[in-house]
Amino acid sequence: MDTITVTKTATMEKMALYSGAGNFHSDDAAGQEIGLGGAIVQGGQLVGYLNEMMIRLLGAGYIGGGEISVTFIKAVRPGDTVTARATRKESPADGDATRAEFEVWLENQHGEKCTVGTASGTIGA
Amino acid sequence: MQTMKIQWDDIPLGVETGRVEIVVTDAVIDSYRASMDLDIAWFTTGAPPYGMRIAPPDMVPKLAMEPMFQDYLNSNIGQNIRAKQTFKFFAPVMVGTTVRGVGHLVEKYERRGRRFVTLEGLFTDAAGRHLVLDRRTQMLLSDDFNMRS
Repeated sequence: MDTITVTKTATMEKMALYSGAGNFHSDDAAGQEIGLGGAIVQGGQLVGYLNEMMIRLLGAGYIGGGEISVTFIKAVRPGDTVTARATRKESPADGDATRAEFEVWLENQHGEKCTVGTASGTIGA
Repeated sequence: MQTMKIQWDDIPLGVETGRVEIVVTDAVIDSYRASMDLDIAWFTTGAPPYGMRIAPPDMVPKLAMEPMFQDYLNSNIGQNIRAKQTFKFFAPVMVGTTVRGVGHLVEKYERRGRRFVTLEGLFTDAAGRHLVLDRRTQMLLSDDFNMRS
């Protein structure tokens, strides 16, 4: 199974398209007001980048049968470039040979992990 | 910062946080794709093995987030930010599908001086077939919920 990565650059324009205008996911002042130090990319948008990677990796086996579970450990801000990466686990925890499991993460342009977790899907769907 | 409307101890586990009914159209798929720079044939024109265009699997939960989870949290608890996210994608969501979803607050806990609530939403089609499970944990930002302040 080939390694696939997905790279995206966060822009205020895309953040507003995803999250709407005038909130802490699209407005620096709103983010400052609640102590976030400015606007941050919505978690749903970040896990969406990981989902895109998994779809490109497993295709229909992820769209119908995929699972992902992640923790957001570092904020992603406008101007950051994040790359979704995955490494395949040796064997599924539940012993199901029809599934492939991965450690997945998003890292920023400095190589810092921002979102980490696991994802899985059906092989050969 | 806003003030909470209910006390931490009174946040009710199991409470329904919202319901949605969303019709998956070409327009909503296009809008979602634009926000994500998502260019995969299944979501643009449609491609085998599906007989028609399908929605990105995490699109419906995104569209449902405000009415199913955030309106309840903002009205009753206050500002919050996502700490964890789990999705289970059971089946593809075809364009034209009417998706129904219902959300519940299923867990609350304290860790490292912060307070968290977990919400869960299940999306089904008109026949009741499971499409997506969305489980998200939100860290509370309100001063009233920040035990370190």
